[in-house]
Amino acid sequence: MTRDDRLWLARIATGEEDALHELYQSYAPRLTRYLWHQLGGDAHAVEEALQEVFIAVWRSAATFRGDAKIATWIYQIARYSALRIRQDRLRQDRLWHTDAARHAPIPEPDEADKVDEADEALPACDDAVIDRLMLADAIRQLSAKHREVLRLVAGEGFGVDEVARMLDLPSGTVKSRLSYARRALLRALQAHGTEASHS
Amino acid sequence: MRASMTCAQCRELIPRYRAQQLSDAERGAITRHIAGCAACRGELGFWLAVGDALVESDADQPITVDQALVWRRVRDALARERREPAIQLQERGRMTIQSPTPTSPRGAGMPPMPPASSRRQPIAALAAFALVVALSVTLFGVVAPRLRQGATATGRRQQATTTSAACAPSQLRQRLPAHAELSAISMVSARDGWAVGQILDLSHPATAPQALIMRFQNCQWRQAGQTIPAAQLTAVAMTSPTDGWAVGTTMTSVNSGSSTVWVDNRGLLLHYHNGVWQSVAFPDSHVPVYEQIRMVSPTDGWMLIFEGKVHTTPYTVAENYALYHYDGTAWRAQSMPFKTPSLDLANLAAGPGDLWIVGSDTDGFGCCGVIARYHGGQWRTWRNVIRNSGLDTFDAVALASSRNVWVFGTHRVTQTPDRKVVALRFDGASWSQVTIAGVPVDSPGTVTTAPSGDVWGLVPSGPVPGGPTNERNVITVTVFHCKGAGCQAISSKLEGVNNVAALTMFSATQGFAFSGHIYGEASALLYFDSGQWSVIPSAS
Repeated sequence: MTRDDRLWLARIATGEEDALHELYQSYAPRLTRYLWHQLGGDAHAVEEALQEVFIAVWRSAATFRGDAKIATWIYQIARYSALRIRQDRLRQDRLWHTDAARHAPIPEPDEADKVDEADEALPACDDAVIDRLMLADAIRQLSAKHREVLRLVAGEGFGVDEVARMLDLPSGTVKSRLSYARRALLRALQAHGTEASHS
Repeated sequence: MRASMTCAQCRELIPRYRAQQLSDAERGAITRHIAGCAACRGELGFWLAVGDALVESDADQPITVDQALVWRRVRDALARERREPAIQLQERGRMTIQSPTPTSPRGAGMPPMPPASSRRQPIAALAAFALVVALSVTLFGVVAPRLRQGATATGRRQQATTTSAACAPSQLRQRLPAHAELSAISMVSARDGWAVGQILDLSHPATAPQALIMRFQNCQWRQAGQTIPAAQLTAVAMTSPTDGWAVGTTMTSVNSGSSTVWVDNRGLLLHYHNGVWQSVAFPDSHVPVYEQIRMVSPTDGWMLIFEGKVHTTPYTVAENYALYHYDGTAWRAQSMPFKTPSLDLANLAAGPGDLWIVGSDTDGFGCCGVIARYHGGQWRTWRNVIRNSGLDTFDAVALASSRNVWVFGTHRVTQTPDRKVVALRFDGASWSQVTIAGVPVDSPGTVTTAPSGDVWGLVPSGPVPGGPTNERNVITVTVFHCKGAGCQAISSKLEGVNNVAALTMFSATQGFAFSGHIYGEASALLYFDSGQWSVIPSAS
């Protein structure tokens, strides 16, 4: 995939529209999913953002410095497009149905973004029965910023440094948010009485 | 990846395991590690469940995005860019173009696009760019009001190489971006023109302003190319369909108490040539507060830079100006030997070999209008042109020809509050005062010279004092028309806007202006025809 990305981008830089289409077909499903959550399920907004992302890729391909993974760069563009569209929508006073509006988020600690190297000592879940529906619900209850990091790492598979670049955050902050999300989900598992066997 | 992995290393990679973005070596290392580590095995189980939950959560929300439709739109957009020469901001000269620095509010404004490139073919799509935010900071908002108002006065400019019939009023459309605030318009012909300004969201002051370029083509005003983040454009002057200049400033944010304020940072100079806008190093690293630019031809132009005020005595301030002339290769400083520390320069107009600048000399006590002319390599100035005792303020100059020059301002009788509008006309030898009946006692905000030599002046129009301030009123717009040796005032009503500014004529009787958003409402482009105004409808 990574090698394909580089080849596609090199061809796009020379003006090959077919290469852009190939890149689009490769990334559109993942980006659509990502943008769907960023934009609260607004299909029109997602389509607008998706279009904006690939026009931006077309325009910028020749100047991509290669100092980040192409996927990271594309997601970074997508994130800013989503931010811009969200701001535009808010300015136009559109109702914005986000997960945060439907579910009250778990109250965050005062210093939730502080780097916390010492993970909470939670029991190992060797052969745990984990209620995925409950887990999905707990994910929805996270704040937007923790949920975004969780999706990018666990859902899209980006590394901490890549996510930090995308979100323009220190790596420590990304680690901290991921760690917080993990603790919050595990607490939710415990609170719902999930059985776990301990090693 | 080392053959044996620690728990810390394993736990760093495990969250990404399900998304299948790890290398084979990484996955292999994890597999080997968890074979002997129950804790990490449990951790993997947890993160696999999280990944499953994310997928199932997505499945519960059917995504109704039409990806095929989006691709068709992308393809159509690229095809449009190929048909119309794109606006491409390129690096040229000493100016460095880089991604925005973290001083920009995070997440606001434009994405951090890579720098522009000149590697593309001119017919290909343009490359996005971003401007570097430099180091020095000046106070924001120190703008000479008269400079701002008079910014669109022009002299006789080079005629467009193609003549074309004007668009029918019913054909006119506009696509102004939200929160657009235009500063200047320059028309090349009846069917081709440019406007510049900024996108500024007053409800979110921490958001960086973005410099905006608009183009008038096919009877429609619409945004040209990408905006420039953390920047504003304040003046534009086109010499032909393929050549012109725009000027403004880059901005930087500073914390002012509990809020973020955007202030002028560095001069921004753009040159349009053969379909491409290029950034050019601002002359002598000035940090302008405001600029005016007048182009006579692609090889002859003038730029007046205002750099702010300094106190010369406890009671007076001096306004710092610099004048530059463009000779087709570079902008070179031009001295103004008539300038004093107390001189406030308001406006300039230029023709072939002929530059006029007007202003007011406070001289510590009073105020007298000053007219300066640079002609044949020599400066000549006029003071006290109006012989009656009083205080003159000259705000605008229009150059219909070297033998037909107009200066406009106000005259106040000493020790009285009485003011009146003054219009002075130079016939090549001497000045005469012209009476314009029916013009409100206010200084013209805009003076523009039509290609025919007609001079039109726009008196600032706004809401009725004491009236509703957040509604679009019916306002009275007053223009005056000077042709030959006489002037006539024309007043008309305009509904749907709060103010009118920057009238620019493309024929003897037709022009464009804009209404700025002074109460948080959107700007609008306006059409002017023989004294009648209309708001250009938005394109659907």
